[in-house]
Amino acid sequence: METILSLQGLTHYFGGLRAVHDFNLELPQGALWGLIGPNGAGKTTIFNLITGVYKPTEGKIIFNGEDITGLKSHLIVEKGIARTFQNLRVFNGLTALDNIRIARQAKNNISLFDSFLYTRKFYEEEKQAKEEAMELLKIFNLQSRAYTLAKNLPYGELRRLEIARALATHPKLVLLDEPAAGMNPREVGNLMDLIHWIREQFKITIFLVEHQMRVVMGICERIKVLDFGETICDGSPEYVKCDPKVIEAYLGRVENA
Amino acid sequence: MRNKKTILFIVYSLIFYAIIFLFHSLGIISDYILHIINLSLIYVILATSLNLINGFTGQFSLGHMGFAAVGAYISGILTTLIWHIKPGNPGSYVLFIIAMLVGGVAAALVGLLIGLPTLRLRGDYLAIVTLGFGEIIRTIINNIDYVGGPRGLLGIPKFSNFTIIFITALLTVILLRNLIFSSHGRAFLSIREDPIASELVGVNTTRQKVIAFVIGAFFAGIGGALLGHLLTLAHPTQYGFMQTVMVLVMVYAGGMGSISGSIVAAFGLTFLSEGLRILLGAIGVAIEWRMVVYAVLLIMIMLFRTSGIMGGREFNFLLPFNKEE
Repeated sequence: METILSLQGLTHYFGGLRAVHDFNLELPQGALWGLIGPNGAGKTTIFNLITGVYKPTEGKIIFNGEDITGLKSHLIVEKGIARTFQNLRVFNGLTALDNIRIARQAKNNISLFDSFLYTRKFYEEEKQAKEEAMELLKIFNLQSRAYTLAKNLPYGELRRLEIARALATHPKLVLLDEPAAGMNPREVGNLMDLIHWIREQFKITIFLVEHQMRVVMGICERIKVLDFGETICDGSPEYVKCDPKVIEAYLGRVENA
Repeated sequence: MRNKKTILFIVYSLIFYAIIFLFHSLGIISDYILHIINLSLIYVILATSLNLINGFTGQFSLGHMGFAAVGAYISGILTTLIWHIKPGNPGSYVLFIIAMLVGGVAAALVGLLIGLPTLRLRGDYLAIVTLGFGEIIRTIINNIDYVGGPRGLLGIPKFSNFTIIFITALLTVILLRNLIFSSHGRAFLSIREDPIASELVGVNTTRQKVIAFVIGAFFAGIGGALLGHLLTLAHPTQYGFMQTVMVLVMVYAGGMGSISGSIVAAFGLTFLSEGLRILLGAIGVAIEWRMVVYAVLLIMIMLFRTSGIMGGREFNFLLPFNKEE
């Protein structure tokens, strides 16, 4: 299968602290892979490196055969990488509909002139943007919330809204940063179905970071385990589950007296 | 025009215009009151354009009157020192409108020059740079003999009448509103809400911030040009930091991110300011105490109504669309 995202020797330092060291990944098109590791292992840093929030100290990021290392975030989004955030980052003061419509910005070719004078083109674009956004809201069962301010939505709906917003950018690859954080077991079950379903429906590749083992073990085809910025294990869920190094990173070592 | 609500808004505005015009010609509204209305309308332009930068895009600019100064002096130089035109035939008004637009464009260019390097950064850098810019502009004007230096630019022809000011203010409000209720406007709002998330859903945040800043500067320049041609002079002290604070108070009192709020506050505070001048004069207190009243008012708003008079909402007649349309 063709590789969609390739990370080659990705290394990142925060001052003297090495957050990520020599991270390699060959993510095939259409895959659903996971990244796990204890707190502070560098998982979110890797997401931030891929999406251009940080520039890597060393290493290369190749997306769809194109070097995107050090590109500005909005250009990376335009290339087709979207993400969600560990601690929700929806636009609280805006309606659910506007949250989605903003994510269409890059595809929008409305000039300032059109906006100032409300030309015919403006109305056509607005209509299309709204229809597209409403469709996404419907898919995520949020259509009744279209005109509700995001700050008034319950947590579970915000999580869905954020995923919908990521999909509104028409991505090829979606990075989900702890999508199940703060959900109850039933919501987690629904989320797992949803993630499977969007992958099929939108034909996208998904790479996710998650703490809840149930999610990772349940849906990921392959898992990378990170500890203190180093990759300590890489394989199928069954393999990772039994690797002594992984158990040690999570639970500590058994001392033999 | 495909927008019924906009047409309705223009009709309402023209009724307001007709009433004021009629009352003035009947002598019910004195020249003095009309002058305050003119000032209020100019402050509407200044406050809504500053609101675009500070309220809608969430950047903190402290140099708005600096841009107004650029507009006032550039247009003043054209009409007074180069063309020597006087209000009279329609041709002179056309020239004045050209001068006003040149003033606005000059202010926008200065805005671009300041915005490009500083808006790349996050945080308070813009506040520091624009604060410095306001002072630099004032100092530069003070030291150019051609525009009168500290004496000010005198003898500017009085082109700004009620009709011109009213139409300009109306156009400013409609154009800025259209921009805000468009995809650009949504991008501005998303930057205010969360610049990182905005960038990561594909908004070119630096570009959008520069656009908002430059457009704000343009309309500040237009406002400055009108002010100069209303007062028939441009003076460095009219464009100092305290005047910028006046406009800032209007934006915050009216409500960040509300055009309606800026309009209400521009009228309210201009009339309050003139009312206090009369009141304080009558009870024998120095009129400089006005600034104290302003400060107290701002503190009260910050304490009791954090989001301003309108709290980020708009009057229904100002909205281009019905809410769920």
